[in-house]
Amino acid sequence: MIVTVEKSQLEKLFNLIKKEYEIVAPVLREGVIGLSAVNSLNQLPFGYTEVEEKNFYRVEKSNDKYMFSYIRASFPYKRFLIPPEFTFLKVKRENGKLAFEELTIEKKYAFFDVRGCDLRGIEVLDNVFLKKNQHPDSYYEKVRKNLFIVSVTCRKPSDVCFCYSMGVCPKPKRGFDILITELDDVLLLETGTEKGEKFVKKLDYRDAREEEIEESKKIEKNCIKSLKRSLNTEGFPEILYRNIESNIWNEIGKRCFACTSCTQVCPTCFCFDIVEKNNVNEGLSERVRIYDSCFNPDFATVHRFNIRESIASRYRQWYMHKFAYWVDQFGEFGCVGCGRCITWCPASIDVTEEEKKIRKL
Amino acid sequence: MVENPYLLKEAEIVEKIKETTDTYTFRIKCSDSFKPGQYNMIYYFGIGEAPISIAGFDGEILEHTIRAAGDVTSHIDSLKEGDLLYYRGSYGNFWDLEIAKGKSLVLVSGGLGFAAIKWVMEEAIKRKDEFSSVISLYGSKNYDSLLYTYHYEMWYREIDFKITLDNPDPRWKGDVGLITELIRKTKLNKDSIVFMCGPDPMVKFSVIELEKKGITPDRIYVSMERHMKCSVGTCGHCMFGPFFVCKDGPIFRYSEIREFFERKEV
Ligand SMILES: Cc1cc2nc3c(=O)[nH]c(=O)nc-3n(C[C@H](O)[C@H](O)[C@H](O)COP(=O)(O)OP(=O)(O)OC[C@H]3O[C@@H](n4cnc5c(N)ncnc54)[C@H](O)[C@@H]3O)c2cc1C
Ligand code: SF4
Ligand code: SF4
Ligand code: FES
Repeated sequence: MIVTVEKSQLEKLFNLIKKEYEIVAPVLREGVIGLSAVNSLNQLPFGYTEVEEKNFYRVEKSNDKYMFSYIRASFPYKRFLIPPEFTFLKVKRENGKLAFEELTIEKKYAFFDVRGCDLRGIEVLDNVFLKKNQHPDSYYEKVRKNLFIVSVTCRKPSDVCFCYSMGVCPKPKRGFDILITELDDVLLLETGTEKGEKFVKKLDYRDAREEEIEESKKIEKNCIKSLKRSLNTEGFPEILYRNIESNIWNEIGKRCFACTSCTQVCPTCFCFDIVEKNNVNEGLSERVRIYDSCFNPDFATVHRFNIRESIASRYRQWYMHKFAYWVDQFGEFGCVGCGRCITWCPASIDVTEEEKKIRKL
Repeated sequence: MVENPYLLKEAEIVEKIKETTDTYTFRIKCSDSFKPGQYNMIYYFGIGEAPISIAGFDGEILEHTIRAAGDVTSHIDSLKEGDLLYYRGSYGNFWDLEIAKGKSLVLVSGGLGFAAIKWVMEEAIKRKDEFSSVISLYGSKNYDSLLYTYHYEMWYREIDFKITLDNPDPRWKGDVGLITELIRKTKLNKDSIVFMCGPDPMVKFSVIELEKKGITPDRIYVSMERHMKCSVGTCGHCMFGPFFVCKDGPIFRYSEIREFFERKEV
């Protein structure tokens, strides 16, 4: 259904969802818009906006009248689907026998305000962990199945965004339970599922008018028009495969610190390590999944020999994975154009600039 | 609901055979299903898991040959007969003998890579008549690092089984030299099908020798080793070009991986 509600109805929607879910939403903390469990709509960073550029980030008061004038949070929702560190198996040893206790993540989250890029990011992770994997991940599935998604149309992009290049629209077309588009005077609500409809029906709503739907389309068009960055994906995987031995990787390798910042803020980077946490005296051991990164020096070590010794080769692995290997593995790109890695790279490495350089090789 | 891919199964070690100073073969009672070329993830309490090739299975007894290379493997090697072994699997693709039907099957292995070849070799012996010939070439660093010596007599009898040692030894009367030299010395048909497992450099140079004999890379299948943590295509550690070695492999047709395999740091 497509309806409109007064802006004041947002609080009611929030509270209705809160009754059934633990809400995770953008919050402003120590000058950065992050994500956190929240109790009240007031905690969202209404009235603020981000200024982002290569290796630059600042939150400012916005100079428009909109609630959703901030953009996406500085890090993606993935940590709520797969926590950065969690015990997935508890093992107890008794009389030479082992007993296993399977731990599950019992969370019923509602993500409140997922932008187009992050929504697409979740879709990409769905393919990695579930849909295109013959050994689907039960931990991911558990949280994912319970997940409720409220999406929001972006009114304006940040200067690092290039979502449209990666096939992502500022006004999402699918994947949400409810989509909110903030118009000048009212909110346009679109539902994607029955679960979403159930909540919207409890609001004071009326059918959306033709001109309101038009207005929402115009917002999207304007947003796309204001995108400052782009990445041409046309034939890019083939170009990358052709240039796998290019010296450009060494040049980037000289700048990259292998700090792993890009992999942490990326909504699609999924790599993890498994480590053991032991309590020897009690015969207890926990198996723990913990985020890892292809930039870490021991990531690809075989018999103490690191296959990717140089930082250049690690950057190449990351970039080629996003823009070439991923296409072969999952039939889509591993980048959704959120631009976060551009903002948070301390070496000012910009994936869109590198694309242009690679094309000129 | 999908099944938890990390749950471990329990099986009893019925026999522990000392292969070399640091390598043991475990015979494990087990009623699972496996295919030659696949591997299991073997767990040791409090230490972790390691991917280990399935070195044999007859429907009741599973075999694993494990070298104490580090933390996990040295702990597993400390297990005794009667102890329980915890594993999950099987994982990965398998050696498909159908491809070699009617042709000459050539098995090439180096070092511990022989563990990944042993079972398919035993199967090939059973089905000997289906191939025009079965040749197995195995390279070992030293006399003391030879694996499965107790089977040699039978293998010599059944197929064209050849061993070469990298280093000469007074106790050794057979071939000495690298596996590449053994390949060079052996008469091989152009239309042979090759199954190979060994360290990366061995594979690379063996392919060169095989090509000199007219065996093209599309007839060569290679089992690869990479760092593995999850074995189910989600941790990212085993990534190799566009492939996940854990689930797309560990066996690859060489013509399909050559462009990545022969490049540094992929
Ligand atoms: C498909 C496959 C089949 C294998 N078959 C056998 C076999 O039949 N017999 C045998 O003895 N060995 C085999 N190996 C190698 C064996 O898995 C490694 O020697 C072992 O993982 C090393 O772990 P560790 O803890 O003992 O060593 P450490 O050096 O103490 O640990 C290295 C760390 O790297 C991790 N790691 C993961 N994969 C590897 C790897 N491939 N090489 C090195 N470290 C790795 C370990 O889990 C550990 O966390 C195989 C490897 C693969 C990929
Ligand atoms: S690669 Fe960069 S721009 Fe693309 S999705 Fe990841 S963080 Fe966003
Ligand atoms: S590209 Fe930038 S953010 Fe990524 S590891 Fe290198 S220095 Fe860090
Ligand atoms: S071992 Fe984890 S992805 Fe292959």
